[in-house]
Amino acid sequence: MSSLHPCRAPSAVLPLAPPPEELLAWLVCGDPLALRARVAQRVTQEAWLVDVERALLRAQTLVALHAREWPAGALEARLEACIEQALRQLALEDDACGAEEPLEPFCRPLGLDAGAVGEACRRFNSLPGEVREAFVAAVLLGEAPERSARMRRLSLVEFARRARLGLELFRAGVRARGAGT
Amino acid sequence: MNADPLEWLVPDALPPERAELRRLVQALRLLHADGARPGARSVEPSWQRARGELEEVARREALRALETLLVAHLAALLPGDSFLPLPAAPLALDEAWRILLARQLFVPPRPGEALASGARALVARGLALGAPAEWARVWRTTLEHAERGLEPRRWEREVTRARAQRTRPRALARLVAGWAASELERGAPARALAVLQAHAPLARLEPALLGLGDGCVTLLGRPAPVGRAAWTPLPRGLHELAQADARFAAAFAGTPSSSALRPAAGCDARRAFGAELVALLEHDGGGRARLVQLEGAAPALESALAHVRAPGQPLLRVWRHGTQAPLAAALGGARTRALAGLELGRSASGAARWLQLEWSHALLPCGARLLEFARAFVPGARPSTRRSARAASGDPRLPLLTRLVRRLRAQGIVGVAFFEPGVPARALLAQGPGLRLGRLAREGEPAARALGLATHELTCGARALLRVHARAAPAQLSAALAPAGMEFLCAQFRALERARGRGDPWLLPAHLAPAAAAGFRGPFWIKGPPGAGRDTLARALLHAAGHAPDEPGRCAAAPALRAQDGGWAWCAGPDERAPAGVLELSLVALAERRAELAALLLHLARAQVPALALTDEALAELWRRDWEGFAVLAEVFAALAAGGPRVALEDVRRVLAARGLRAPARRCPAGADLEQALAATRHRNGQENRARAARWLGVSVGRLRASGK
Repeated sequence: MSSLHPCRAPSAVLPLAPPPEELLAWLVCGDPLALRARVAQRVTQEAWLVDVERALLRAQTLVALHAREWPAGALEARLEACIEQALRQLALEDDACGAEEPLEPFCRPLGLDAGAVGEACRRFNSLPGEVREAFVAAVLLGEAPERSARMRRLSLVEFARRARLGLELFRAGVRARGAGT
Repeated sequence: MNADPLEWLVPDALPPERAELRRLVQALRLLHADGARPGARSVEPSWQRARGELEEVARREALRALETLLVAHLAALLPGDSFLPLPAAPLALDEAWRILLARQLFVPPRPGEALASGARALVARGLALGAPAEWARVWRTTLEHAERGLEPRRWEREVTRARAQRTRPRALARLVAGWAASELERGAPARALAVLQAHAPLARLEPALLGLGDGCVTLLGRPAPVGRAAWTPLPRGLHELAQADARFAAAFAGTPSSSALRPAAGCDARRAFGAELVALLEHDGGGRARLVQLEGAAPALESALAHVRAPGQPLLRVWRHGTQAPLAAALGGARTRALAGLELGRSASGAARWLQLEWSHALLPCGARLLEFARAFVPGARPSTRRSARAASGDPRLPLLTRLVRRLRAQGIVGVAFFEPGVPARALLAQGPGLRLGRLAREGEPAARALGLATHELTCGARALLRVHARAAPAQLSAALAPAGMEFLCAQFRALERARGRGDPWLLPAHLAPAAAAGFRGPFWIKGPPGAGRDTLARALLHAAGHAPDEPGRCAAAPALRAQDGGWAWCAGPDERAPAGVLELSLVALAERRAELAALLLHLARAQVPALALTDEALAELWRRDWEGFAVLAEVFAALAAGGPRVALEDVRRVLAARGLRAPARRCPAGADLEQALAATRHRNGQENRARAARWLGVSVGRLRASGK
């Protein structure tokens, strides 16, 4: 932490090979590579149920860690790859500490256990993309099933099957809690 | 907006459950909406938090790199007939090395010593990096099993201890898999199944448990008790398929249904097919074969199939990866991978189910060859078993495997692999069966091609069956399934060189064999003409003996170094004689290594970034030459790569002319070259094309005929 102050961004688009700590400080402060928008877009498009801030920090960390090894050019593709890697890592890490923290504000007022919801979200994120996407469209966005199925060139039965697959995962958690109480 | 998705998605939910689901959905909606606002920021940047994350991610990455190396070490250590499943390597081998070397986290192990000691050092390094004790315990126990085959009781103790210490489920699952594998290795499938059933919930985390359970049930010939884990007597996936897909069930039961089993349109790109695969399945199926019809087969092949096929046999269609350049495939070892990819419905998780059947086969499905191949696999031949060094003649595993073979043969199953749910099937198919071969060798190398059958994600039963087949299968498969120590050494050296940014050196196990016989105890006198690869061999020997390849004063041109000064490897001319007490290794000129040249050309094409796609004519132009040495060839490929990834004949001629390399003299080609060229021409329709082969070889058709072809 020497030459680059966390809030003093260098003029270059991507600093040339500074240590990961310095690069991360630069990325975290002010988001010069617009990673947050990219992460939010991917999260929405690919129907991940993750805390965007957490995914953003992971993506920034991966960029900081690997940027020194990147050859010149192809920055966009490298950034996208880091975001993808970040999302996959978060989906697979079964000991991701602090995963329930961002869920607290949403869960507590509704009387839900943020830890259990976080665990269910993690399992949801390891489902295939098309299942996640159908669940988000049908359940979270409440899209009309016929229209959604048509747009995806799926039969209504198949669309419903996918959406239900995602829902069943959360439902299993609800049932387990019901059995426990 | 749809009124209430819960109404139509879970109509069976009772009111209290539905109420809780509603609240849950509400929370998820908020979370989703929060993420969808690109400009919003809910957390202020915190450098402290970011630094903590950086340290944690770097640590995890290093652990993954160590695990990758551990898997590579253990895969080379495990006897071929062990049932112990290893986890998939989380990274490619050279990526793992790159991480460890760049952060100076680990020095290259000393393969000259022993694989086991390298593995122990890796575990120790993991602990130093803060890996949990349970991580180290799982790896150490696995290593001990690979070394000397642990008793089930020892695994049981580990499982008991892990449960008492509330070990994480994934680690526990691996210990349970080890316990079951140990029981299976001692011919006790019932006990193994009991172990697996007692830990059935872990199968959700560790797919290897499912595979082991399936193998047990197959061996026992009975289904598991109802209400417990769904072990299946058929390889997993096949059973599900038969249950879920009426079309497949019909074919499986022996009802002809070829038209119903036409794959989805996406398969059309994978044209052509592996004829030997068909013959293999046909004959191993014991009369109930279900793979007969080939889409667009050559007439000769069709008639051959008609000959071997019994009336009324069911049909499935088999595709083969299309190869754009048949000569390249032929030169790459005259083998290409037959792959039958059939989309057969969707699994419960929504992933496409693909039936994949694969076989490494000689190019060219001509009828005579097909029948010749088929005869090698006639049913009734007594299956033989490949034994590991520690398997004694009275090993209970031998009758167990024999039983397994009989059962599977009765079902007509040879090797069935199902793609994992959640992994895009198309991507897997595009990458082919080499996908999981990163442990020891890269796809495209001869060993990797042959190892596909044994290392792909097969169920336990099918894997055992393939081991049995290894004895009867073509020689190259047996060779590839032999203990993989030298392959490991080469792969590791090459991965390290790539990680060090030195390109991808050309090194074959055969190059190391004489030194390996001497236990890699130097000094060595490596003699040969310039360009024969003396420096690479010297570096590889240094690596194998545990020295750093860059260690100053270790390696030099003779007679610059003296042994008493620490000199270890001398690169000498072909006529220079080694001093007394120094082991002499000879490398012949590249021009005299015709059999190696073909593989070397393809290796150089792959090593470029991006890899070069040479047309058959362009490749032939390079192949038929006698090259002076590696350096010239490497220069030519570098020049070709500068012009783009697609290389045509004109590109090659231009580059050769720019270097003053004239067309080679027309001479009678060697027998092996002739065979390969003619074989490659049969790709299109099963017929040889002498004119094309002559053109590739740079000779006239008349000269070809004069050589007896």
